[in-house]
Amino acid sequence: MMRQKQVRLYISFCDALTVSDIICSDVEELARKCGISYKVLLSIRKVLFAQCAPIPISGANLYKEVIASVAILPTGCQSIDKLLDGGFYTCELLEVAGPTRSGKTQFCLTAAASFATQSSQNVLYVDTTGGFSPQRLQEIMAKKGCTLQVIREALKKIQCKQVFDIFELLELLEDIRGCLEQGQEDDRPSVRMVIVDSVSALMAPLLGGNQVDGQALLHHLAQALKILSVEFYTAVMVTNNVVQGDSAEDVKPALGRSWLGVPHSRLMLRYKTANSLPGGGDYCGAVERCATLVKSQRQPTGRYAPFVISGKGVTDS
Amino acid sequence: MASKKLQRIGIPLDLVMRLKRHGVYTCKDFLSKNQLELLNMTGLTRTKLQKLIEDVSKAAQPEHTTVLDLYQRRSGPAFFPTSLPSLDRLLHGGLPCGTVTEIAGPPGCGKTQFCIMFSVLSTLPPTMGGISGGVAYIDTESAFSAERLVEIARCRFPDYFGTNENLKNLCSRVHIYQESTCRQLQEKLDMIEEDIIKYGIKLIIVDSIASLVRKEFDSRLQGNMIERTSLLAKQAATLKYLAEAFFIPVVVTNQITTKIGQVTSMQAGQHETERKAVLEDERGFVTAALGNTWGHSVNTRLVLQYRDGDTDRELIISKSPVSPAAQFVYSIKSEGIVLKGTEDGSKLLDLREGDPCQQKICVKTPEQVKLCP
Amino acid sequence: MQRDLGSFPFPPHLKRKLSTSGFRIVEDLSDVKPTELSKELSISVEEALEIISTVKKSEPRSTLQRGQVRGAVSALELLKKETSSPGIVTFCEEIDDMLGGGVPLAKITELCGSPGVGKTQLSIQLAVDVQIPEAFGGLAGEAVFIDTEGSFIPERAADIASATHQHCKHVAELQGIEDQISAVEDFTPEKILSGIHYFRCHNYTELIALVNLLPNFLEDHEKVKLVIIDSIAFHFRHDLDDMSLRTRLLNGLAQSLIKMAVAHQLAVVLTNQMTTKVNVGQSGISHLSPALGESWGHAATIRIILFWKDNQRYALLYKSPSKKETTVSYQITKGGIRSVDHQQTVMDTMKGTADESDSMNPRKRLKPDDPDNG
Repeated sequence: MMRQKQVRLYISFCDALTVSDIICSDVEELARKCGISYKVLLSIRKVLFAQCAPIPISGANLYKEVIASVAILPTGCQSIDKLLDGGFYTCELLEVAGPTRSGKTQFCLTAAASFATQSSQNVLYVDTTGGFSPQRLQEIMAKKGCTLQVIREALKKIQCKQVFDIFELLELLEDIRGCLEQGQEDDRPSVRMVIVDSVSALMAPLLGGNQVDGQALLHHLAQALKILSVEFYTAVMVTNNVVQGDSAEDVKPALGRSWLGVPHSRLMLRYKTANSLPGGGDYCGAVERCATLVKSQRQPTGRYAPFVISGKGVTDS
Repeated sequence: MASKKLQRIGIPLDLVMRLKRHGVYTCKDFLSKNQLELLNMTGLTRTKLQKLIEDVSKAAQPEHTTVLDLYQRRSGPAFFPTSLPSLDRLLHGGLPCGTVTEIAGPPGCGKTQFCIMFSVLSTLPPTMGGISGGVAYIDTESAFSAERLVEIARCRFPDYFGTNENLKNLCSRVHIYQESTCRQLQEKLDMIEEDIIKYGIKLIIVDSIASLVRKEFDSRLQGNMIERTSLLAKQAATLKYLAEAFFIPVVVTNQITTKIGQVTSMQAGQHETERKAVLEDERGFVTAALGNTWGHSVNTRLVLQYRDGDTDRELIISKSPVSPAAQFVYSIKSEGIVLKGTEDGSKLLDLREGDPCQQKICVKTPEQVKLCP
Repeated sequence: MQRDLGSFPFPPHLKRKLSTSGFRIVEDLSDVKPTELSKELSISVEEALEIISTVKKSEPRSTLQRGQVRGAVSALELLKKETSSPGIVTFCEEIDDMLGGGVPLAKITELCGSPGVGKTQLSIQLAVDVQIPEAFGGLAGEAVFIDTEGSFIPERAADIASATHQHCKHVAELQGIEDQISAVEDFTPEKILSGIHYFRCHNYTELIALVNLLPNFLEDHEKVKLVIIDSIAFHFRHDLDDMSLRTRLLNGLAQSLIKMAVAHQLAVVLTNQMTTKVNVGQSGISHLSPALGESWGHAATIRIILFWKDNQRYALLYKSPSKKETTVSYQITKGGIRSVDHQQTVMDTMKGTADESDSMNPRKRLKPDDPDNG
């Protein structure tokens, strides 16, 4: 990876201020401009290359490292676990997209609850819509048969932060990174799962109109999320809205084309019953919903798993 | 104050010029932009921009009152008496000023009669229960009859309208506008403010709001309905604005329509047998026209209907912010609308509340009334 | 320290200058003084200071507790907070139960319904009920009522206020608790009406301006515990042809509102209209759905649909993160929103917050599995 690490060179390099400036510029021209000999410049370049170039890792070593650091975390719903090849991978960015009330927040809450009750590590829940509900977490854990002591401990491990501004979120992600870096030194990452519910609520007011900065921010966000997941082996889950696709029944994730490729995996949620207006008495009850894997790096896409939302959260139907 | 120009609210001139270059002239333009766009246009730092947004918002924000102030410091009466005592009692004193009241009913049930009667009432001096103001009567069906106006006035208030002078006064204060297309109507509504001030108008009547849109927009075409809905919403917004700005009542009349398919999907979870029963009833049921969005726009809905095997008609308070659902019996006489009833001058019928958009309306005989699609 | 400077909210011309001068990531600015920066970028000292302080603020502090992200609160603490703050009761026990003790604070609740089903009535009822004195288990707050449709009738609010006053008086006399009796003397209909702050918005610009300024207003009026917008849909439906602009503005509003709700621990209640949608795919059968489209559906945390069936009003909890879908009936009387079965329910509701009735009180109901008691 080409690090944007900057060396403040106070030698009279005219325009060349950063490493990339030196590397990108023509050496002969540079030599002529700043009066340093061609040879010296070449050796500076060599040193810089050695410092900044990525270190090659053999596939076998990478595999070993991955095996050692990647964990698979349960989602709390067996059929969806199966769909995701075991659950969340802690080096992946997973997106859960779906229309209103398709169960996105419930999915997040269930995942947080089941992880917190089974692991000693922390979950960070970033709430951008006010949808985080500790009462519901408690209910899910209790219905799954956890003891009061376990619930208490688990609730302590679920950290929630409410942010309502994209800049705040970027700041928070930087914070988490700081935390994780610290944790890496102790060889024990403190936060293992990060949930952002939802990304689109923050981004939607800033996209569109007569500017492109919104897209740039989206790009920064994507990068920050990916660093968390890939470099620090954290499971990162984000939720997203859907927008109307080309035909009436077709829906696609919001946030536009450039975001489409960002998450490693994507689950689309929907409810099976047609969205008819309430009217009858038997309308309520467990509405059957369905999760479809539309993007994945290791599993065939297009498969789906039915699920219901009950007292235990998201469960098999 | 949405259309307030930015230079009028005291922000630095260079900023105004910079915003102008981006096509931002008014508070409305400014507040429709998102933060990133504004950062881009103004080049301000975020804290300064926050301050600017606040300043612009201050110029555009609505006034603050408490409900107590609103309740106590009303200028003029808050209700326009209908001269039908029992109806007034339920409506807290009559048609609420500052809001839109709709009268819906089948043809020949007396909608126009109500309108003409209200016209007479509004010109009366306050001592006689009127509000001593002019009337803007927008007639889209050419149904207004001056003879009928005079007749109602003479028969209802024989003493007051005994003199020609008072009658002349009445006629000169009822301003009739005949509009025959939707565009004309909207244009008229946009311009009528001037006339309201000039002639001291205190009641606006639109008879009827439905006829023009239903004539011009074929409901069978998809796109048409969307256009129709947005046109009606615009008209409703204008009427509401007029009602509030001058604190006067606005009365509109509406036609009826037959609903058939709607009811089945509305009650999707209903038992199969019931659903069938609805489907079997080929005629469906008759209810107020113009659909749901329009229904949101009217504050009070009065429904007129025929009674089975009777020459009398019924008036139903179908939607009202102040009154429970109620039903009255009335007949149309030479002095206008007269409520029928027992000793206390009225008869309140037992009525269960219902959805105003699904309010069933009895028509004379289904064969005589042309059912609208 | 590796964070890209492009991800900070600086105006574009400053961003450009930063990047051409070689400042790319946070680390580059770590030892730079404002005066130096202002010289180097040829910008004003104030701008330079703002850049540096913004960046400094975002640096992770070295004193961080291990595993603790700044500002994050554990679910356990949130649970304690949530269960100790009561919601705003509606005077219809079934609706309160459905929501788990009334309309919750720090959330956005949306009421959708066809015309005349009682959206405005329920809003007024809430604006009155938020002021119920603490002696009765109420919030003793105030309300902001933002009217976009012009459908607010002060006389109706007066009706509901005096009915509520009468009711509290009745309860106080029945129970003979000193606190309640003295509290009810202060709880007059005039007091209630003066505790509802009314704004009338004639177009969406006014609405946006008002929401921008509400945080300031709330600082001056700390007692406000409820903000009502009746209705959110009206202006956006007739005034705006550009659908993407509409979506953007609405999303922005939703964000400001939830921010406000959390910052001031108040409930936000929005009303929304129903619109007829024709499903092209399904043989042209039309059905009703809340207005403003799919993207708006995410805005409210809790969505309640009010509808008519067989001449009876019903409320359906359509979307909620913590409670399951339920349908309950309610009615509207002269005194406001009430339960259907018997008029007496209101009495029980009120008593419930004061004594033992456990169906009403969320604090009590949690007892059996409350981890704090374990």
